[in-house]
Amino acid sequence: MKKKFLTALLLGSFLFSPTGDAAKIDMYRDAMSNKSFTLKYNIVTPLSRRTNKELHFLKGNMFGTGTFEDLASNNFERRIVSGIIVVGGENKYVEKNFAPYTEIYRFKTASAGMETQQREQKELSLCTLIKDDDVYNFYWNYDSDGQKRYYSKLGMFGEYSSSIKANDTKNDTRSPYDKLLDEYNYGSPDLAQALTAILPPDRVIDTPDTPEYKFIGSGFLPGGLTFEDFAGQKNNTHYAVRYYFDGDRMVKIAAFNYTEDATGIQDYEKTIVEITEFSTTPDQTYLSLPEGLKDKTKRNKKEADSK
Amino acid sequence: MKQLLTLFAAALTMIFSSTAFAISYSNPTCILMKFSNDTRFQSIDAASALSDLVIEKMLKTEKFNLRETKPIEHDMEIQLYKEKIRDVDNAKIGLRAGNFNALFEGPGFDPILAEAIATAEIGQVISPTITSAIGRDHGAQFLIQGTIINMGSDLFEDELNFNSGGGGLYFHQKESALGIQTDLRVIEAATGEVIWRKIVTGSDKKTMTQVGAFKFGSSKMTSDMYSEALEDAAQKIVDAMVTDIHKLFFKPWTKQ
Repeated sequence: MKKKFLTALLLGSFLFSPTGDAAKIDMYRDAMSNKSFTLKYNIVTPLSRRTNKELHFLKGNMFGTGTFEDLASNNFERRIVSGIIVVGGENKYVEKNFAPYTEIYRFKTASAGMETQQREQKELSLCTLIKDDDVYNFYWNYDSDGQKRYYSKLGMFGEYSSSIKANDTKNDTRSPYDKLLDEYNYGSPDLAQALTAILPPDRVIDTPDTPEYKFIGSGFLPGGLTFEDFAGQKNNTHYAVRYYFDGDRMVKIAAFNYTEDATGIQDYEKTIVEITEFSTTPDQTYLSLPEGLKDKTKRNKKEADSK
Repeated sequence: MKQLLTLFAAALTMIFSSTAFAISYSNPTCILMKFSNDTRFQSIDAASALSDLVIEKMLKTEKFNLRETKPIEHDMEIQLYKEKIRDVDNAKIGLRAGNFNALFEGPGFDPILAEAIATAEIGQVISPTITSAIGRDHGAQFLIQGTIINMGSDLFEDELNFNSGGGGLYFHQKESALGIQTDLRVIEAATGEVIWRKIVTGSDKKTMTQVGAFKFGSSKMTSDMYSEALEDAAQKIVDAMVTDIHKLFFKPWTKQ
């Protein structure tokens, strides 16, 4: 044990530079604190699957074969593989892309080991747009021509409805917890945990799962990437997060936590999130309803004039 | 001689530079691992019953070169869990030393490694140490593994009442069903790589249809629905493997 510890320490010393400086993360922390950013990500590792779920495969009626609540809520067949978060002041867009577990492929290259290649998801995306205090929930998938198709719900005969109403609780598929944490909802729980370490303290909700993170150190990696590490503890659970940078650009987040009590290790989780874009300006194209969706929200004249 | 060697080298280059190079085995040997059960219905031991049915049906097809005629009772998940504890040890070392390189740059964070068998994707690797040992012990090149991920029942009902003028039509349909959903994988023993994966659902349904005053069938849940659902699940599992037999033990490679 001691030998392993010393070996790890020696190996790490070549890569670890205790600069005590988390400068690169500050830009992203400021962007989140100022509520002004665009984040696009891929989840490389899924959450551990939790079992004990009843099978409900007969939902529907004579005219339809299922509802999207069933598709999106079945964590054991589908998982969040990627997503988008755009925050511009009080306006926010959160997109969660689901794909079946069976249809994510990774292909080997003949020359250089493993290259991750995610097949374009063809299942479902759940989207939430908060604009001027109105909440819109809608979906998109690909039609038979491979074009993106946005819709608010399925009609009685399975047709795709392009009319949408704000604050329509009937079609709001978010869990009560998601609604409660609406402002703090980062879509995927994997990502939410990975981002918590760089949230400003006043933005972190005190929950049983949320520790207070402290900066541990930074360093260089072979290949030119740099990293910044954070760690925290809450009750019996220990957390560690590493942010990877290519220059000043965040490219990856790796997170790990484990729970240990007097009887031993109870649970652990790991997360790898690939960051494809993390800019400090909100992409305004996402902060409006997409083309193809018609806002049919009933408003009184005063409301309509102000919108 | 020199010309022959040059021709041979050129031929090898042509083969390896093609856009796809398939590694396949002729008459690949395999074993069926006893299925695991991720549902809360542990006491009825559906995994054993389903594994036995599946291997019986696989043997009947005569399409699989099975090295054992019974499912292999070897809990890979527990062994894998013990290996994963290594990540926790690395985390503890990192926390004490203020250095997480052993954790985040170690094998535990290699994206090629599957987090668990039950969530392993095609192309991911389940500990080759574990899979190669099992393959060696039983003389098998491939391990066929399944996890029961869902079991349950449901009832749905439709009712239509058409009234028109002096007459009407009453239509009523009730259906109850019991289903078993399984997540299947084929794993190459030597490398631990998942090379095929499919989710299969078997079920048994009972339908009652009423048109006017006439009733046909019954939607009442019965005790034999469970064994019928198991039988259906086993058959669909084997059918899925037979349908994909040409790619079941085949690793697609693409050259970038």
